[in-house]
Amino acid sequence: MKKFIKNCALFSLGSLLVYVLALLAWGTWMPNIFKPNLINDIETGGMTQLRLEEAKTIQQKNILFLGSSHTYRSFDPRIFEAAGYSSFNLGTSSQSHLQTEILLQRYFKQIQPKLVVYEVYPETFLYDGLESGLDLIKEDTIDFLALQMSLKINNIKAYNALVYEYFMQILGKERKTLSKIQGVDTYIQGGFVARQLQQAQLQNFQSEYIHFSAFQLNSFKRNIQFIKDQGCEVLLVFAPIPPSKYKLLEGMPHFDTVMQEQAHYIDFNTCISLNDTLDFYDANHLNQKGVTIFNPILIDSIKRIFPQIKDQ
Amino acid sequence: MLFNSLDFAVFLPLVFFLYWKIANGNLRWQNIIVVLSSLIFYGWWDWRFLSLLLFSMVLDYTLGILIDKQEEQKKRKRLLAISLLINLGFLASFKYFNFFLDNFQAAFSFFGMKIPSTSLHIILPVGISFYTFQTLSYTIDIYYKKLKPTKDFIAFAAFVSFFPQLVAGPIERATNLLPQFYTARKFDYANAVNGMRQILWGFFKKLVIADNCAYFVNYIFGHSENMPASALALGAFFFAFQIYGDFSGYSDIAIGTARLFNIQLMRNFAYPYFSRDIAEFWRRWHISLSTWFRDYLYFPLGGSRGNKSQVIRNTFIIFLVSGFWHGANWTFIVWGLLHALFFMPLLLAAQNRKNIEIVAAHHSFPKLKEVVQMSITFALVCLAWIFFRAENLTHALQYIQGLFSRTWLTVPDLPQGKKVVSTLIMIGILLLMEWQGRRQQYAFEVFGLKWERWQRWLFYAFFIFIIIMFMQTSETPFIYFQF
Repeated sequence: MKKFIKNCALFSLGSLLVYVLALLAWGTWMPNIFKPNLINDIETGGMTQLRLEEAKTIQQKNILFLGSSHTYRSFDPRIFEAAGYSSFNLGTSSQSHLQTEILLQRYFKQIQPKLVVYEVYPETFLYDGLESGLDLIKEDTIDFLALQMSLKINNIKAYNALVYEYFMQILGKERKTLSKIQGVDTYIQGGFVARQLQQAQLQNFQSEYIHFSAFQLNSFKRNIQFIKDQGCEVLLVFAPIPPSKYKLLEGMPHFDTVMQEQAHYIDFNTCISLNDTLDFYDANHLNQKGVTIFNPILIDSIKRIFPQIKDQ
Repeated sequence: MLFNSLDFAVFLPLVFFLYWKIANGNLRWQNIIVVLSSLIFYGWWDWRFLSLLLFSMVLDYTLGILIDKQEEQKKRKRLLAISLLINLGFLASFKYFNFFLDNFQAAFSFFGMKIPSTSLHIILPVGISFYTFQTLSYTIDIYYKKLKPTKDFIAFAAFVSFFPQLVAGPIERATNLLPQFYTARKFDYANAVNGMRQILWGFFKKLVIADNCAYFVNYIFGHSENMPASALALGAFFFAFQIYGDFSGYSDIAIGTARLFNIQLMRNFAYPYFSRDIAEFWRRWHISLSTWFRDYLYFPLGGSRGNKSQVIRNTFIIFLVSGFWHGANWTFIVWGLLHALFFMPLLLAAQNRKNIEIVAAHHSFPKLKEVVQMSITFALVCLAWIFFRAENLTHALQYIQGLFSRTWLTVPDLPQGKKVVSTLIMIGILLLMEWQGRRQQYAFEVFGLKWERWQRWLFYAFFIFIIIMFMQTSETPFIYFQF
């Protein structure tokens, strides 16, 4: 019996070592097809790497944008700059509130915003947080916060990426640098991703019922509290999505109530008249034409609700 | 509680510690720990159904003693009938009530009579088909005087509820499992290590093979009306490995876990996809169920004694009942019927016991004839699996119709297409390992036995890494839980 327990313990330790070594070798040399549970490619769609690199260098902005791909595709810092607001866009692909939490912990005190525009897309309250979590693990520092986040995501892909990136960090392996132009997308200083003007194809949308997963809602509430505790203002924004898609969302009144309970909240889908195909480039995101319609209206709202924010 | 859950990862070492350290070789305490931990294991899913399990235990324990005491054959028979009626009555109420009701209504409406729909929302208690058959084997064996009833209720409760096999088998016989609870178990190092190895192999089959196949199976069967024949064939192929990996993986984990407590469970799978005919397949697939039907249904019906028509009738009965045991749906009955039809030519030609030994038992490679035989058997099994997996008969027929469309050369367009390749590679590895280990109780047993310890450990550790790298990441329940 003692021998069995002793050997089990020894084997577990040995397996841990084999796991780490095999993971490093596998991640370095194996093609993607043979590593379904280790995602260590650079994420090109949202250009998180460039955004986080820039985030590390900036200081004191009036406005900080947080949220999913709707954030880095909808809030253009150039338009805000022209209106007299300095800003930084810290949106990441499929960013769930769990990841917003970690980004706030890491970057809030450095950026010291006066206002956080927190984009609230209903689906993010149902995400498991894996996609965005992997994004942060791959492109940002591995620290205790990353470990905490991985434990909350509790998915083998998150653990594998965490261990792999941690050892890569220790070994001092340089990450491949992403180019600022990726196909039709261009990274704009300030965290925005601009797409060459494209229009969306007509889509067949299906109705979606909005509800909340408890752990995402809790993270969201903690984030709001954190921002308020820092003496910063919060504006919750439901950025425009194609009107035909919006019409099929079920449960909006409840969603609106939950948002309004937390902070100032504006659903821009009810304020702006946009066109499914002309103002969007896909089933979710505004094209640049849509952005130039939406941003000035958002700026007007900010001026009205938070007149004290503007510093120039 | 699922074997592939964190809950079980905490539960098992805890029970292991209590069983060997706290019970410390004391028979009574060992059995009490088995019973309590099994009740927790079962209650983790839904504690309300514990009452059903406890009722079954008390009923069959009492009836077992009463049958044994009773000298008069008529009264013995009556007591056995009570056990059968109550146990099968529970099974029928929970599993088949809506099926009979729906078909009753359909039959009436066929004759133009409308009766109001009163289907009930009934939750099927997990594992009810398994433990019901297990307790029935006890009373039936006592009735036939093959077994003396136990006076030790705790030992009996341990036999009925032993958690590794409680919810999805192997369906144990009282003659094999119950006596093991009469004597105190001593820790057996070799057996425990063997158990760990078998658990590891079970996890590979479940997490890597079954769960990855499940992803594509669900997609293909869910969109079968728009799929080319090539994708439908792939769907049936993947389902064959999903159900094999899932169920035999569960059995391996169950048998391996039991070994940790020095309890031997019966073998449930013996490389069924290496079978050269359907009769051999049924000697190798879900052995504990097929032998249960053989012993408690086929033999009492007369088995292979009597004239040809009686043997044919008996064969059809056990295949149809076996199909129906799996679920209250006509698809399962047709699945059983198809297997009976596949079996018939062998039975009529008296060839059904031709292939007893494992294929190429004394060679490294099979003969061409054996490869052809295995391929044909596998194809027939896959065809029947379509009925097993389909939502209803119309779906199954439409699926098969699609298989015969002229789209065999169309490359299937599936989500995560690259994963199809890695899943096929993993199936290839499974088959190679099974081939290599086909003479053993389970394939993984053969690997590393003659190696140095460090080589063996390195191999096992790397195997764990492969599971971590290729497993499906969401927790998927075992298919056979629904039966």
